[in-house]
Amino acid sequence: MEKAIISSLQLFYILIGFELGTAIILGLGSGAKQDAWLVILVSTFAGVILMGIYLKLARFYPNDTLVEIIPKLIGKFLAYPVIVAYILYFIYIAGRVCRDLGELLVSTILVDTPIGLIIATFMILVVYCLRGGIETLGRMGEVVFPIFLLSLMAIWILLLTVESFNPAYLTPVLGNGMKPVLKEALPKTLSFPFGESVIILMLLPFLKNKRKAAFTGFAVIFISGIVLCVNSMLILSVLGPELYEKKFFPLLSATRLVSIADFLERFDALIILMMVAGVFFKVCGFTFCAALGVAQLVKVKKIDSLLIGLGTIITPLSLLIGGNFIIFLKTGLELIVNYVSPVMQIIFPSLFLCIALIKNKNQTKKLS
Amino acid sequence: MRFLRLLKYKQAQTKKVNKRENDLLAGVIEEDFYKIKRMFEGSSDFSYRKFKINTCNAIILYVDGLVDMKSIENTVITPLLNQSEMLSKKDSLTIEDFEHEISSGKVTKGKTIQEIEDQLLVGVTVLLIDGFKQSIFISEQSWDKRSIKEPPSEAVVLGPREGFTENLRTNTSMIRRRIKSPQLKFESMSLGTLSKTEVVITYVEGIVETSLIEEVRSRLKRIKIDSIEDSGYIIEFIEDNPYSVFPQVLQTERPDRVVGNLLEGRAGIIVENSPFALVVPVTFFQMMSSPEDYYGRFIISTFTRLIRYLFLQIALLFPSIYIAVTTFHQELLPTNLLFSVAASREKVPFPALVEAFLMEITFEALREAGLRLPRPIGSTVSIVGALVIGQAAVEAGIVSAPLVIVVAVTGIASFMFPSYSMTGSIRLLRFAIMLLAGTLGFYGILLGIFFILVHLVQLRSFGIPYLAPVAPFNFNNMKDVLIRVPWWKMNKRPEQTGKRNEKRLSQQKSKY
Repeated sequence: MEKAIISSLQLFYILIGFELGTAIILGLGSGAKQDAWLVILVSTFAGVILMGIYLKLARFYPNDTLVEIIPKLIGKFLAYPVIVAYILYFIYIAGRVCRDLGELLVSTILVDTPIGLIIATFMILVVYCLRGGIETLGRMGEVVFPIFLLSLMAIWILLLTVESFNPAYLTPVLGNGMKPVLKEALPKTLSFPFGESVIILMLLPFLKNKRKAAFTGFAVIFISGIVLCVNSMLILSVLGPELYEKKFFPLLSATRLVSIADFLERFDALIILMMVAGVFFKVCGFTFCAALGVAQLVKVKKIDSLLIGLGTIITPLSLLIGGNFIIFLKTGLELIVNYVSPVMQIIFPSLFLCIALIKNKNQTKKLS
Repeated sequence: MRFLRLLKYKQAQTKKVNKRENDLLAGVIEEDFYKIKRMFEGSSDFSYRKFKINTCNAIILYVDGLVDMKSIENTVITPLLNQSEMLSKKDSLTIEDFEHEISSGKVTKGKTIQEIEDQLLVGVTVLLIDGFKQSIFISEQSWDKRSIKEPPSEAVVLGPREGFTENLRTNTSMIRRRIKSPQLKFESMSLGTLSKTEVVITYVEGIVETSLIEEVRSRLKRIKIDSIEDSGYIIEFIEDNPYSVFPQVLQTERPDRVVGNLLEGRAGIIVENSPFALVVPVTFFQMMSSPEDYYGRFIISTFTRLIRYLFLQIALLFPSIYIAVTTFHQELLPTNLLFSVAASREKVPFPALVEAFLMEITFEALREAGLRLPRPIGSTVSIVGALVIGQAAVEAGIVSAPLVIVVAVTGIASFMFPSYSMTGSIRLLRFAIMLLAGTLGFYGILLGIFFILVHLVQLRSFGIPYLAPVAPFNFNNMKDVLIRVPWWKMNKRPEQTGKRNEKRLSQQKSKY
């Protein structure tokens, strides 16, 4: 693998695009009604702990990706199925995110367009970008993220102008006690979006200044947590908890209520822009990690051809993983988030960290 | 015929072999003169004049049209003829004695026929004297040249109005006049096996990275072509990504623009017979800044720059947005506007994509025709175009009135770029995005933008990222990208090229 190098700022942009990508459009923590924003706060803190685990693990092997770390910890034979599981997981999530985008577009602005066409064109873009390597993705972050953030700010300001804007929707705070909040936060909101930062383990070896890794990782979790929290508060204030739970894309629904002077209305375009930008980073990130994983597993030097292969896999996969949108969402929100993601994002990394700690202790003992 | 030609070819080949030996001047004037004369057989501009200095035979050779005859007469022929008596007094004459009599500024000597050929072709006058194995070269070149005019492709309101001409020396002098320091270098080389075009690399020593100059030198040296007609030929050879639609080399007619770039640690390439100098490396944002930005007041300059970036987007996207909105997302328009657009589109038989393509291509044709035609007819074209595009097409129900506005605004927007080569890229990409918008609506437009961005962040110009300093990000250099900070705040050169000698201001502005 030739070592492309990214700066900590670029890594920050990639990861934050990752966290915010789809999460900002979908209603997070909607199960806790008006306390959805609290759910996000709670899971942010859990996310910080999770990030701590990842960073600690990465510190033991600063120049290895996750795929290279695993065999060193649990031996070659045990490692293979785990690595394959990770690769499949990355591919699956990439497919899911593509489908999210496709469904959003088909249900809003491109009603008669086949969803396959949308996803296929998007994958072409992703493969084209990744052929330039992680560096290109990092630079894309530098160009696109400011636009993403500006659009988000604009939408927030616009949401404040909506007639039905009423912060009272947020009360009563903790009206149903802590329980529903915690239930929503762990593991649901923790694993999506915060746990998805597990890919930092694949990207850290590319970081130029390794000392900034910790700062970058925590900054990503904190900032994305705060942004998501503010976002959900605003949407809740506009839509109210009932609609927030029912709508598939609450941010879009809220934005559609904006109407200034009967002329400035329908800011869907901004949402679509944000969605495409966010999904771009997410799919790029997962596809890159999957390709990198495969490359390191089978010891291939160039990932170009792997990327094309992955692109052709992910496109139909994203269509196959759910017959219709409802089934697709249900598997996503129940099966994956509750059972698959926690294993990949929490249990495995913690396990690896434990092993790494024990191994390291033994080594230091041996040395002394 | 063929046989004869073959024979001639063979003769030429054997001549080549013998050339080295025959190359030295024999010292017998008739023999040397005959050799040169045969070389220039069939060239009607090759002229000579035989005369006698005392008893010595002498010949002056020159290419007519490249030589200032009057000064040759005054500085060479007259003194030699007048002083012949003094020369005859000496017992043994050397070639230096003759040389001293010539009152021209630049006189050199040579020993070979090859040298004589080379010198004659660049307009040097050659003096052969019987009995000497050396020739004297007198550089009194002069030919008709265009006077310095205001550059038509980069006009400014504020700032200097002189532009490069086709004459290399005039161009270098314009740069030298702006940097009166020996640190300013002009490295000359000759490219093109037939044209032997002089190409000059210019840079300011101490600011520019030496690695950049080496790279420029080696890329230029790798060019093996018979002739170079314009600096445009060179661009295609030295670009990093020749398949990109974006220009990776800045072409400019303005000496002040070249100098501004030299001071930021870039290199200039000036090509003989081309009024366009090249500047490398360049970034996208540099292409979007006009020299006038630096001459006007900084607040106004910032404003115009922002307007330019706004209209960059309009030039690229406006027709596509029209297509996307009318084809896919009618609901994105406010209701009142939607009604008026729908009403005007009612009569139009085409889908929006076809309608827009029709108009945009017509506009491109008009633009091209206006450029190619002679001035007097050009105005006719614009009148006809205005009528056809403006009114008749709408009244005939072929296109809708809103589209005319769209095309007009797009047209204006595409003339706003300070770099002509960038205009072409944007115009071309506009059509690609229109196609995407026609098939995938707003999502297609976004897809197009992302494709362009991915391409741009990968693109490099002489190793410098094309989107620097936005990607990779550098806060300090953002001073001269979207905004232009006042000169007294621009205390550092751009990081990408001017790292070696960062400081630009030696003193902060004092307050009054």
